[in-house]
Amino acid sequence: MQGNIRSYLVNSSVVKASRSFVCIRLLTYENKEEYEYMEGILRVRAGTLPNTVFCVLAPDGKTKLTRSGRGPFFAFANATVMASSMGLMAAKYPTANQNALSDPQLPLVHKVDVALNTAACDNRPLVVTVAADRDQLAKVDSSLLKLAWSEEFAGQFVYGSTTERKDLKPLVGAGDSSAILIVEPGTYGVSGKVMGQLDAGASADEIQQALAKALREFTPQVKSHNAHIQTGYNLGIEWETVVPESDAQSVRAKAAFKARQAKP
Amino acid sequence: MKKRTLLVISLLLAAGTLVHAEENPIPRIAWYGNLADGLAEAKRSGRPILLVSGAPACLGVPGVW
Repeated sequence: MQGNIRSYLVNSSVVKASRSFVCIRLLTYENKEEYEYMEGILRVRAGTLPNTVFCVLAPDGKTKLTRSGRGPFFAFANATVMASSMGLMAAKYPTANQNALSDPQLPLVHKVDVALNTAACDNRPLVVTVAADRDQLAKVDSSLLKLAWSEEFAGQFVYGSTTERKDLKPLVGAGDSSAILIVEPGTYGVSGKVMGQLDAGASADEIQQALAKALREFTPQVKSHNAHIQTGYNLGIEWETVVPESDAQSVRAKAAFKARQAKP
Repeated sequence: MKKRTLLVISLLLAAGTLVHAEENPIPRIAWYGNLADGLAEAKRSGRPILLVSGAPACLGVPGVW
C-alpha cells in the first residue's frame, strides 16, 4: 500500500471517525469474489483491477458515498478533510455511532496464512483462534469479542481463525491444545513465533492479560522497503496470489525487477 | 566500578525503552479482512463502509504492502 494511502489511514482523526464505520480492508488478489466486487466498485474492465482500491459506501455495500479510486486522495484533499467528511457521512446514519465497537464477530482475514502475511505487512501481532469444529470455534471467537472491540485492543491485532491444525504449521511454538494463539509474525509473514497461548476455557481476565502482555512485548520491525524486497528475492521468498496480479504498472515493475536480478 | 555499573544500568534502561516502544500503542483502524463479514456487519449495524484494498506483497515479495 502506497505511503500516501497509509498517511490518510493512520491519521488519528481518521481513526477516531472510523469507529462509526465498518472498515473493510480486502487483500486485492487473494479472493476471486472479492476481486470481482472491487472491479464493480471501480468500474474497470474485467481482469484489470489495480492493486489498491478505495471507496466509502452506504451500509448496503453498493451505494457510493464518495468517488471510488486507488486511494483516499481520489476523494479527499487530505486526512483532515477525510476525517471531517466521514463524520458528516456517519451522521446521516442514525445507528452508526451507537453501534460503534460492538460487533458480534471478530474482524477475520480469510485464511491463517494470509492473516499472517497481513500481520507482517501491518507490523502488528496476530491472533489465531483454533478449534476442532465450527461450533467450538464460534465459542472461542466469542470469548474474544468484547476485548477485540474494546478501545484498548481494537485495531491492534490482525485476526485469523481455523478448524484445521495443519494451518498452524508456520507458527512456531503452537501447543496442541491451545485455542487462542498470539503470534509475532516473521519479517516476510511466511512464519511466526507464538508469543502467548490460551486454552478454550480461558477467562476474560486471562485473555485480557495475555493480549496486553503481547502488546507490551511486541516490537514492530523497522523495514526498508527496497532492502526487504531485495533480500526476500535473494532468499527465494515469493508470494503466490489466488487471482493473477492485474495491476499493469506493478506487473511491469515485477518483470523488470526479475530481469535485472537474472543478469549475471 | 560505580561509573561502569551506572553505564550498564543506563544502557539496559535505554534498551528497555526500545523493546517496549509500543507499550502505549497508537489507536488504529480495526479492519475486517474479508468482504462477506464486513458487509453483513454493515447491514446489521447500519454503519457506512470504509472500503480499501491492498496487495500484501510488493514485486511478489510478502511482508510489505
